[in-house]
Amino acid sequence: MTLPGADENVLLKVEAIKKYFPVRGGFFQRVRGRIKAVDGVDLEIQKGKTLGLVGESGCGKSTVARLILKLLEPDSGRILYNQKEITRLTERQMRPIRREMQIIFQDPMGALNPRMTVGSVLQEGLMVLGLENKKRRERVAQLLYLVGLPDEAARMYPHEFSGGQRQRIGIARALSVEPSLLVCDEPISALDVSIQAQIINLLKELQERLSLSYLFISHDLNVVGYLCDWCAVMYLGQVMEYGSTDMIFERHMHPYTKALLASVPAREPGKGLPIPLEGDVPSPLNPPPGCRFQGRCPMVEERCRKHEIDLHEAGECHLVRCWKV
Amino acid sequence: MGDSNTLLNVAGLTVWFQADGERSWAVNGASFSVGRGETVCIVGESGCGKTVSALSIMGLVKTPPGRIAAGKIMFEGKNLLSLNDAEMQQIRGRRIAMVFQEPLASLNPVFTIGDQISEAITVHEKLAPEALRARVLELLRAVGIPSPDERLGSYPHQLSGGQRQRVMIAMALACEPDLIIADEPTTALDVTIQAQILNLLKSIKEDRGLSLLYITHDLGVVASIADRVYVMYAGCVVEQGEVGDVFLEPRHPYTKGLLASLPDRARRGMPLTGIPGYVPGRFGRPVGCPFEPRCSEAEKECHIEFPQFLDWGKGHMARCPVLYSREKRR
Repeated sequence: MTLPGADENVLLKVEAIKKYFPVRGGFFQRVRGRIKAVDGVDLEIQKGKTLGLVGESGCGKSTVARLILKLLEPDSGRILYNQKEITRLTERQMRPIRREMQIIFQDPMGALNPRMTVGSVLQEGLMVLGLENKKRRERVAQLLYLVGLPDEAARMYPHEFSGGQRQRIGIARALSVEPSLLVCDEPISALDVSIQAQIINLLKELQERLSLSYLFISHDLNVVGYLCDWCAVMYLGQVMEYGSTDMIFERHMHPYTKALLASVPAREPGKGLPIPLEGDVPSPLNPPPGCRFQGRCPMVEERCRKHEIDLHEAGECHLVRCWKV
Repeated sequence: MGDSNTLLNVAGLTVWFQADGERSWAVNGASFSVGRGETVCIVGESGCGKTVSALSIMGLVKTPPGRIAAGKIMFEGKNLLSLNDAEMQQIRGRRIAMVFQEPLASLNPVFTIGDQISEAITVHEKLAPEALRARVLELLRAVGIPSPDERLGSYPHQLSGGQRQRVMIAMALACEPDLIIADEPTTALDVTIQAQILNLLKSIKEDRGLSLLYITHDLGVVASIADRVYVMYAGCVVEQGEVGDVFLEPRHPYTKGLLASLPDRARRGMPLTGIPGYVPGRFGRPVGCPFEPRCSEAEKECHIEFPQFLDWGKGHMARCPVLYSREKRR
C-alpha cells in the first residue's frame, strides 16, 4: 500500500492485518464460526502526527489497537515499528518496544488499580526501567506537573479524583516510560463536554511538547475532525476510506463515510435533523458477501453484492474501498 | 408561560438527597415549561439535575434518600406533587411516558417484547386478546420495527440497541400520552442509529401531536431537535430560550463556555477555550451563582447573590450576577 510520505517518516505501519475470533459452542466446545473482527487492515502512523480511526461500535477499531500493541496476536499480516517487523517477536524481544507504545483507555477508573496511590501507579513503569527511588519520585512530580495535577495527587487514591482528573492520571502513567506512540482508545467518550475540551487541549499540548504520535480511536467525528491529521473510516473489520482529515471530511467518496458524516447532528440550530442511515450493522460473525456495506448502501449495485473489493487509490493520498469509485 | 398552551409547568422545583448525613441539592429551584406540541430540551453536564428533574415529574424520586423539598409541577392544571399514588398512577405511563437511556436495563430480559408492550397497555386499559395483539403490532410498526409479527416473540437480547430503543418508544406510546420525557435516549447508540431515533421521535411527535421533553448532554442533538432549550448547571437553570437565540447569542458564561468547548473541524489548530475546573459532584446549597467557582467572568457579587433572570425578549433569559448588575447600572 502506498500512502503519504517517505518511509522514514512512518513510525508504525500495519499491512493486511487480520484477526478472527473463534466462537465455540455445543457440548464439545467446537468452533462454530469466526468473528471477523479485523479483516485485512492497512494503516500508517507518521511521526508526530495523529491518525484517527473512526467507525461504529463493533467495527474492529479497538481490536486494531490491541493488535498494534501486540496485546493480541494477529492471524496474518505484518506490523512494522520504525521499519522493523514486530509481528512475530517473542514476549522478551517485545519488551523494549512495549516501552515505546502506550495506551490510554476510555474508562480510567477501570484502568487504574483502586488500591494503589497515584504515586505508586506512576512509579510502576519507572521501576521496570530500573530507576532508583529518588529519581522515580522526581519523575512522578514531573509527570503530575506535565498533565496538570497537583503534587499532592501522588499520595491520593484514584477514587478521590473526578473523571477528568483520572484520565489525566491515565495519561501520566502512559507517558511515564517516555513512549513515542500513544494509542488513545476513546479517551474522552466518558467525560463531560467541558472536561473533554480540557483533555483534548492537554493531548494536543503534549503532542507538541514531546513530539508524540497518536492513534486516536473515536466514534465522535467532531473530535476526530478537530484533532487528527489522517483519518481511516472502518466498517465491519475493514477500512472503507483512508486519507487526510480534510479529504475525508470534504472530498469523501465512500457512501459509508458520507452517511456517517450526515448522521452527526449539526451544532447550528435550524439545520434540521441529521440524515439517518437505514438498518443496523450486520454481525461480524457472518458478514455479507461482496462489499461489507452493501446491505445498507443507498448506491448498491449488482457487482457490490457479488464481489469483494480492495482499497484502491482514488487520488493523491486517498484510498477508497468502493466499486463506484 | 402561564397560558392555555402550556402542558407542563414546573416552578421552583427543589430536590435534595440525603447521603452519609449530608444533604446534596440535586435540583435547586429549577423552573421550566413545555407547551403543547413543543420539543423542549434540558441540557447540562453530569450531575446538573436534569435526570432528577425528569424523575420528579414522573413521581419516581425515591424517598428516602431523596425528597422534593419545594416547588410545583403543574400538568394540565393539576399539581402532580399533591396527588396520591393511585392518582399518580393514572398520569404516569398514560398521560406522561418516559424513555430511558439504557433500554436493556429498562426491559425485562425474561419476557418477550410483545408481552412487555402488552403489559404497558393492560395496566391502563382492558382489551380483548386479539385487539391487544393488533394494538401491539400497530405500535411496533409505528416505531419502525421490521417484520413486527416475528419480532413479537423476541426477547430483548435478540434485538440490536437501536431496535430496543424503538421498543421502549413503542411502550411509551402504548397509552397515547400527551407528553414523552426522553432521558438521553440516544447516548448509548451509534451516530447512525442516533440519527434514526431522532427522526423517529420527531415524526411520532408530529403525527400524534405530542410534546417532547428531551434531556441530553449533547449540544448537537439539542440544536437539531429542540424548539426551546434550558441550560442547567448544578441544579439550577442558568439560561433558557429558543434554541437559535441560546446557541447563536449565548448570554450566561456557562453556556458560552459549553459552546466553546466543542471541538470540530472549523476550530482546528486553535485551542479549545473550554471551562476550567471540574464538574461539581455533590453540592450544598450555594448562596450565589453555582457556576461562580469555574467562571472566568466572576466578580465579587457572584459569590453572594444569584439574581433573577434577565430577559432579552422571546423568552431568552439568563441568570448571571455580572450581567444583572451591568444591566442595573445602565
